[in-house]
Amino acid sequence: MSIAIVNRIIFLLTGILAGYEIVAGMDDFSDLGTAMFTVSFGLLLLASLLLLLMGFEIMENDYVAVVTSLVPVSLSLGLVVEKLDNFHNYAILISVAFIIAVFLRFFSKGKIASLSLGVLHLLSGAVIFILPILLYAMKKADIEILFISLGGILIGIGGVFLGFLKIGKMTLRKEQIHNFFPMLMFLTTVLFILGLRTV
Amino acid sequence: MKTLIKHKFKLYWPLIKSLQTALLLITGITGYISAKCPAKNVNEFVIMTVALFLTVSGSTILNMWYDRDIDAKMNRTKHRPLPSGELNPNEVLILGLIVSFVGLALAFSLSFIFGAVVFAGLFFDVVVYTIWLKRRTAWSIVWGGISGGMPILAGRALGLGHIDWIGILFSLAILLWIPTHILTFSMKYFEDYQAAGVPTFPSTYGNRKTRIIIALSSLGAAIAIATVAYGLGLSWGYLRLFAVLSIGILGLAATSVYKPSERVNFGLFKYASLYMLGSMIMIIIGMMKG
Repeated sequence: MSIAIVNRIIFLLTGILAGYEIVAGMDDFSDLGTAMFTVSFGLLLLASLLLLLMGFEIMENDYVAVVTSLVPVSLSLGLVVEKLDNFHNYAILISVAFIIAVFLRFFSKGKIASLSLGVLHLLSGAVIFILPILLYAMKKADIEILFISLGGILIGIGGVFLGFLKIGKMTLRKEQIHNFFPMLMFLTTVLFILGLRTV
Repeated sequence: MKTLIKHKFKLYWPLIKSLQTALLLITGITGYISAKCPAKNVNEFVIMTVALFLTVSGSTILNMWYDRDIDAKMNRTKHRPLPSGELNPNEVLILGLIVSFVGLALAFSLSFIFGAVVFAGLFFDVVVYTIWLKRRTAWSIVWGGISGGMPILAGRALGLGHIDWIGILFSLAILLWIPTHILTFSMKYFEDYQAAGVPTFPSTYGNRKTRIIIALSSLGAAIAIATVAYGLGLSWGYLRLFAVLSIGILGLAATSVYKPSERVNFGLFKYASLYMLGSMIMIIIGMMKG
């Protein structure tokens, strides 16, 4: 399926924004936090470039699905590293969840394989959504941090749509999902960038 | 009259392969800015840009003129204005020579070293690559690559007044990037090159070995460009972005070896162009920001 020009432009803008964030948006983070955010924005950048150049079909590739699941995983890890004193427990939990999800994705069949990454998305997505709200409620961050929660909702919606598409339980057609996916990715990137300014 | 000029322009414009010329021009500008940033001498900058544009365009026109017989045998190129007979070959030859000489004269007027490097690029491309080696050996692309690395070396040499290790590494990065660009292309248009009798890596060594060479040269290009970025003192932010973009090209190159497909191959071809363009823009912005 060919990509409409407007969607190509949106992918390009997403890539440029993610690249900008990698270059200029991480000066105040710790080394580990910077590494985690670089992974998540780096993957957003690469995903937008590859979608722009190679089309939506690459999303059906198992390796691409596994690698892109690292976007929320590394973003949630970055947030935890930057904002919580004891990040080790979450790091261990999410790493184990990632390994299990990858194992199930490649070595099991049917719906379990398709939904394995969904659990990972759910876990990391919950952290991306809830942690900023808690931080704001405890007055440990400015209101702008809630942009990250909004971004988390959007990336969650994207993940759910793609997951259901994979197992064939979708009322929307593939083409319809592909039409709004670029804008979803763009808005997610914008919201994450806005939110990270206050982290 | 206006229609005639418009018609002629439409026929002549494809002779310079505008996208390829633009990419080489950007590498030259990057080389210059990497040495002399911000560019304080606007005259020098403008003349350099025009000189590079003319010499790169001139060598491409001469290449098109010489290769018109093999272009006529390839589906991809047989509709170009020269092989299709829409342009007079003698007219094109004269145009190519004039454009090249004007470009060289401008280049030498700026500085001897700049002119010499630009001349080397033209000589390697037209004489060594196109006339001497292209129809004889698949390894001709090495000389095409050396030629492609000359604009960036020339730009930096003009800015510095001499050739340094960063300039040479810049050229090496282009030289190592060119196989990723050309070999993926020659795999896609394998039948065309076979029909024209032009030896390529896929026809000489097979697709698997060609893919391995692409992967290795991508790795070499990424290392060279990252070393240049580090040597230029770009901030960690830019180095991180280089790392991300390099992982992209290496990932695609590795995928093309282990899980080859037409989609991955052409994706790598397109990504390689974007990678080089992105790297050059990053260096320009990084240097301008100091």
